[in-house]
This record gives sequence, structure tokens and C-alpha cells, in this order.
Amino acid sequence: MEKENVKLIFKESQEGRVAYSLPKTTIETKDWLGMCRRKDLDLPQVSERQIAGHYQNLAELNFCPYSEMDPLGSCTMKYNPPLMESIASLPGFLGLHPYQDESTIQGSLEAMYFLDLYLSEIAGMAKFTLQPSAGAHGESTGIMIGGAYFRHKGEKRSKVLAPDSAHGTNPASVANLGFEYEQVNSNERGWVDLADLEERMTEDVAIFMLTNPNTYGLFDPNIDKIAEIIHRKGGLLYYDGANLNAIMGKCRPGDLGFDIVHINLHKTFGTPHAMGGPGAGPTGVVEKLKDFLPVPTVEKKGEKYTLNYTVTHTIGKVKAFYGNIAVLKKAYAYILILGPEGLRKVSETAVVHANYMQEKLKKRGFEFPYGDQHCMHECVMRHENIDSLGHLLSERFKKLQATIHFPQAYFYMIEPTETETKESLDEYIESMIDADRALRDPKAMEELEKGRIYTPILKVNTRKGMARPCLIEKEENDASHDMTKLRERALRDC
Amino acid sequence: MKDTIPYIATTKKDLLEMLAEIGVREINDLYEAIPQSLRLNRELILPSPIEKIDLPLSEIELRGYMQDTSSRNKGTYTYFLGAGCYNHYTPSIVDLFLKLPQFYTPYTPYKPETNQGTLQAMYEYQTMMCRLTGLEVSNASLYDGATAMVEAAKMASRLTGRNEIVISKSIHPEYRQVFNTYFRYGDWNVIEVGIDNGKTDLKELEQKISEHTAAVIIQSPNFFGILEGMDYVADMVHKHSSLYINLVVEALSLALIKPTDFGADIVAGEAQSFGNHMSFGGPHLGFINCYSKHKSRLPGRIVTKTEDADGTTAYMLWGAAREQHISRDRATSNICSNHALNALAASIYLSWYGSKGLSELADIHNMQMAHYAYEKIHKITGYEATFRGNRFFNEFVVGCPHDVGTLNKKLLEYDIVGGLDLGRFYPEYKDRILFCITEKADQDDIDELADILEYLSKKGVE
Repeated sequence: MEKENVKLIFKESQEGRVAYSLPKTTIETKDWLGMCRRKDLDLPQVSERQIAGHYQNLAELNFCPYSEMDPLGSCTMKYNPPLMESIASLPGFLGLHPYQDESTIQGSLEAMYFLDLYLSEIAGMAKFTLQPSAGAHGESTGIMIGGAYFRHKGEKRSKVLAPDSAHGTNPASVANLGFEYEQVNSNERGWVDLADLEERMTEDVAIFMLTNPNTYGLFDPNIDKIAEIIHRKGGLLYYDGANLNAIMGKCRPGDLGFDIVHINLHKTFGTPHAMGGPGAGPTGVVEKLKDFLPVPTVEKKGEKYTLNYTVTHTIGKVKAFYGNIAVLKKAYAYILILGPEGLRKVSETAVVHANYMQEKLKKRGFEFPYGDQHCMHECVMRHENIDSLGHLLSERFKKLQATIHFPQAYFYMIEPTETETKESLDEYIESMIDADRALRDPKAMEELEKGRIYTPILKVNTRKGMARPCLIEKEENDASHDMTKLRERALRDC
Repeated sequence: MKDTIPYIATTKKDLLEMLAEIGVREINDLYEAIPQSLRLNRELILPSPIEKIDLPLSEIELRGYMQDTSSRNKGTYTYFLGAGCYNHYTPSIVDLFLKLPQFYTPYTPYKPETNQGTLQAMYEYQTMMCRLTGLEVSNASLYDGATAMVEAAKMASRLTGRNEIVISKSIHPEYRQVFNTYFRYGDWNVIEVGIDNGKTDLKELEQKISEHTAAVIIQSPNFFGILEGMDYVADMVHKHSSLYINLVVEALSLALIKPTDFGADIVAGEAQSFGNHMSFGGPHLGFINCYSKHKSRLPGRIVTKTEDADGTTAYMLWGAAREQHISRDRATSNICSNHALNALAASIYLSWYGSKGLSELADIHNMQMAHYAYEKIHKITGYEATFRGNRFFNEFVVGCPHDVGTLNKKLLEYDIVGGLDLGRFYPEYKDRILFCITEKADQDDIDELADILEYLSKKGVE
């Protein structure tokens, strides 16, 4: 008998149970498909009450950031206000079709227009496209804009650079668009190695992608020199906005010399991560790149908002329709309720929180390789036994694990965000100290193991999971898996 | 100046204590790494969208403003517009569970022990999608159908080692636009095949496939609502050892048509129809399904079933070596954030309808109803049938005696959103209109539409 926390919904299925209801109709029906019609369809047959029970039970297996601080470094797991959910769910937003007449979508266009305006001011850019669905999607968009710009100028540049500490999406975005990726070294302080950058920055390089604050949680103080090196060789400087939560209202990527910026709204602007998404990765550019943005952009003509499809050198489109509108609405609302001063305080508080944790943990003996510098909104610790520490925190202390083994092996990247209380930071610190002690002292571990296990399962056998993938549940009465035969029959009969 | 900021709990006292612990006098000391000359020494300038109320807004003001903004949109129409975004009914239970904090707040389930709910829900989603398409592996969502088409083509290219992709002109025009945007970068050869009577021109297709072809992409139901690929397309493609990618944009059609019955190797597309609101075009739900032998090239998260140290069933992410955070520039894709919540909507939706309900919904309330509408409309003077002799699902094209834009403006007066002006994307099909019928329109709505069209065809729309 399989031991399961929650039975698979397929196992709840019984012939004759339904949850749905549909209107009655007397319409005359005809067999329009003949033998092309599928012969089998095996979806769960369950009552609505069973569905409610099932998903409620599944929900309870998740550790929820509403219950516990989620210090997942580089992900900015701040509190997601329910207000934004109810705003995004207004029927006037949810029920809108992207191709309906412009006169009937003025409200939504206004929200997009102002969001573009706000993001442009916050990032110091000339204009944003709201189309990209995620940070990585924004990266692709930005790289394509850069590519189109150089093509327009008649320059052949085949390389894109990023530091070794870059998020994995940077090199993946570059390679997936057919550019050659080259890594720039970081120096011992965690900053870009300027000599190495200088050497690699040739006229064959289109773009240098940089996260600043970087993934060590450090603001690279040489940013002006970096910008100078890139621009001197005619290249573009790309800002990976993953860590924008540290600097709103303090400095702007545009003023730092960046030419292209993507912003992860699901990080800095409080839209939920939703188990992985949807997020949104609006991408902004400086004046000289404005004419390369994807279409349509949103413009205001007199009192009317319109979708503009005539952008001179547009790269085209990066997504069907206009973007993850529901997510954009939440970010827009977030900016409206915080305002200029609020956004600045968001960043300041996030930075104070991260430094507080770094200092306190440092004083308790934890190793911070870059701890001689003030960090920005996140700090990186190094621990020999980081897998066990992280797991223990979840299993025995009901804490969410921070980012491990990034940007280097054995690193633990902590991003407490501004929305946590000082008490919860202290509690997390205490749990780290206790967990660390248990790892060093068998007696303390013994004590700990007498206590409660908070995770719904024990440590997962990842080796087995990787080696023997089971990616879908096989059908119970699986009679018809001879595809060729079925197909032959279908072809004959159609 | 306000002392308190919503969503920040740190008091002045907390702040002073923390600064003391850190050993600095003021917050700006923490920003010492930013060169002085590059700092923003002013507050951000964010003009208010509302007259006389500056930012920040209170929750009450914000709610009021948004209420007002949403009502300046007009969404209370009867829709006869589809074209890649479908006005299906979303059951209440879907909306409820999408708002549970345990589902909408957590991050990607990297750590399995604390994310079993997400992982099991994604495993169930993968299973349901594969049961619909007939394939063996599904990723746990991509951004949307257009980007799924791009990813599927790249996947096919990696699998075959070829760089030529053949796409049909009957594919959604915006999908092709996205496709062409991406495939301008790198060494690609994209070949478009034209349309013959509303379907991919098979003679032309046959000529254009060669031993260089990585994949042929055909949408079914295609942009005109017509079912394609239920003939020898797969054989044509397979003769050259190329892959046949069946693009599905109206996922509800899967309730009646199983792509593997017709030789699809990869099914990619958009599953917005499964419980996801139109939302002015996003967020929707991209997907790719494939055979097990192709899974190492499949982009996106994939969940596997396994067990924990105690032998209890457990779920975890599979195949991180495909992904960007491990393989960086050698990853199958750069995708990180995806559309997991939309996938959850799809699973709840599919459980709610079940096999029986989904077939009834697709057959009676979409396909049959669309045929009913087609029968009524194409008999009206000027709305002559076009692309005759094809099978269609819930969309169809007819002629239009008026300028389509002007007609649609007129229909708004009757609280109706009319069909798509095909001329917008296909100049050669100017004065044709693409109607879509879903379960949200009943027989009376269709009769009313037909009556109005008939009336206007006599009276004119000017």
C-alpha cells in the first residue's frame, strides 16, 4: 500500500461523480467529427466537495510565506498584500478581451500608461515595455533590443558578457539567442574585476549584463568605471533588476549608466510568486533604444489612451497580446499605495534588515566572506554543512530555507525583506544558532530530535527521483496505448 | 511627512536598535558604496493619476480609484470574439483556491520537503495534460502559447540537430510575430507555408519539408477555427525524420481531438481556456507535451514522483540539469519564473468538469453551438460562407457586408463584442470576420446576434 500524505485526485475518481453543471439546451446536434473524435478521455470524476478537500489538503502541505518569513536570497519574498489580489480580480479587469475596441479598455490602458511612467522614473529609463512575463523573458527582450540596435548601426557584435556571480538566467538568455556568452571574473571583494572586464570588453561585445547590487548582496562601487569601460567600446550596459529592492529612491540604474533594465515585479513590487509564477519582467530602455521596443506601446493622445503599433525599429513582439496584465495591475497598485517616500523606505528598511542579520550572525560566529562590507538587501554566509543546516531549519524549526549554494557552493544567501518584524528576524537568527549548534554537538541534536517534525515528509530521496523519473500517473485502465494502431484507424476512418 | 508606511513594521525604535547593532549612525552610511555623484538626492517624482490626490493613496482611495478604473473598461458584453483568447466560464472553486496564500505566495518548489502541495498539484496537472494530448511528459507551464511555440521549435532543433523550422500561415498571426522576433537571433531558417481554403497548403508544405527541417508547426484548430493535421501531415513530416509540432491554442478542443491520434510528436500551445480568465491577454498558460524519449530537451519545470527517507510518496523537481540555474549557457531554455498558478487553475478546472463534463462542454456548448451560429449567420445576406468544406471547432469565418470595424462599433451599442476583423492580420481576407462561440453565449444570444446582423445588413451600419 502506497503511503501518501494526500491521495492523488485520480484515486478519488469514481464513475458517476461530477462537480460541474451546464445549461440545458435543445440544440440539434450532429456528428461533426466522425471517427476523428477521440475515443478516450480519462480525467478525474469527482464531486466538488472532493475537489475542495483535495486542494485544501494540498495547500496545507506547503510552507506558506504568510506563516513564516521567507528569506530566499535573490527572490525578494516580501509580503503580498491581499488588497492587490482583490484589485486584480475586479470583473472589469478579469473579463476583458485583448482585441476589444479601444474605447472599451481605457481604464486598463491608463493603468499601463502610468505603470510605464512610474517604472521609467524609478529606473531612470526613457520608456518601458510591459510585455515580458518574467525576469528571464525581460532579459531575452533586452538582449534582442541590443541586437537590433547594433544591426541597425551596421555593427556585428556577437558576444555578451556577465560576471561569474550572475544569475543562471543571464548566460541562458544569451546562449538561447545565439550570442556567445563570456564570463567576467569577480575580484576577492565580490566586485567586477575591472582589469578582466577591460580585457574582455572588445568591439565584438554587444552587452555587459550586471546585477547591482550583485548576487553577493554588494553594491559594486566601481559602477561608474564599469559603465565607462563598456561605453568607451560602444557596448550597452544591461541591468538585471532582480535586486532593485535595495535601491529604490536611492539611485537609479539610468543614472548609473545602464542602457537597458528589466524589473522583476514579483520581487520588488510585491506581486506574489505564485509557486513559480506568473510574474512580470517589464523592460526599460534609454532614449536611443526607445524605437526598438516591442509593439504595441501604450501612448496618451489628448485624453485618450491608445495602443501604438508604429515603433520605427521595433524588434516585433515577445509575447502574444500585451503582457501579464493582472500582475501589472498589482504592481501599479503597490506603487500607488506606497508613493515616492514609501518606496524609498522599502529599500532602506530592506537594507537595514539584511545588515542587522549579517552583523548579529557574524557576532555569533557565522562566516560572512564579504562581511567586512555593508551589504545591501541580502547577505551571504558560508557554512561547511549548509545542506543539513537548511534542512534542519525547515524540519525542526519550521523555518523556510534561504537560497543555498548560490552564488557559490556552500553559500547561504539571506534576504529578509522590509516587511518582516525585528522579532521575526531575531527568531530566525536564534533558530540558525540552535540548528548550527545541533550540527556540532551530538547532545544538542539528540534533544532536537525528540521534538516535532514540521515538514510533512522526511528528506526526499532526490537521487532516486532523478534516476527514476515518474512524470505522470499512468491510467488505471490503460487499454489503448498502441499509438500507431490507433492512428492508423483514425486516418482510415476520417 | 508620514511616519508609517504600509507593509513595513519596523518602528523608529527598532530602527535605532538595529543601526546600533550594525554600528552605523544613519541609514545612508549603509549606502556608502554608491558613489556620491550617482545618488538620487531627491524623492522620486510619481505624478498621481487622480486629480487633487497625491501619492501615496490610502487603501480606501486606491480601492476606489481601481474600482473606477475597472469600470471605465467595459466588460459586461456578450463576446463573439476569440482569436487566441477565449471567454470561457471559470468555476468559482478555481477562483477561490487561486487565492489561498499557500498557493499564491510561495516560491518555485526547489526544496521539496516544504513544497509538497505545489509539487503534487503540478504532477497532477502534468498527468491531466498528457491524458488530453496523448503524450507522456508535460512541463509544469510556460508563459503563453506564443512563447511555447518558440520553445517547442528550439527543442525540436536540439533533438534533430537541424536549424530549419517550417510554420504555417494559418497559425495565430501574433504567435508568428513572436516567433519571427526570436528567430532573427542565431542561425535559423524559418519557412512559411501559405493557406489553401483556410488550411495549410499541403502541396506547398510537401515541397518545403526537407532533410534540413527540424520541425513543422501546424496549429489545430487553426487561427480560423478549422481543424488541421487530421490527414497525412504527420507522414509527410516523418518521412524526413522531422518532428511534427501540433500547436493548440484553443485547448478545449483537446476534449474532442487527441493530437497523438494524428501523429503529433510534440504538442505545444496555450491552455488559457482551462479556467484562466481572459484578463486582457495575460497571464495565460503556455505548455509543451512530448514523448518520454524527448524529455531531456523539454524546457521548464517538470515534477517527478519519488519517495522520502521513510518510503512515503513524495514529489520533487526533475531534471535540473536542463535548467538555467544549473547549466547556465548550456540550458535548454532561460525560463525560471513560469505560470504555475495558471497551471493550478487548469487542474482544478479539469477536475471540476471531469471527462464527462469537458466533452459535453466542448461538444454541445462550443462546437455544436458554433455550428448553430454558423448556420444562422452565413444565410444572412453578405455573410456568405467562406473556407467551405472544413471541420471547425468553436470559431468560423464568414464574409462581412460592412467594414468590420464599423460593424463592431455598432454592435457595441447592443452590448455585443463582435468577431475579429481578419483584415487586421490578413489583408487578403479584408471584409471577413472570425466569430467565436463559447458556453458563455447561449442560443438566445446567438439568435439575437443573427437578428441584429440581419437588421444591420439591410439598414447599414453608418
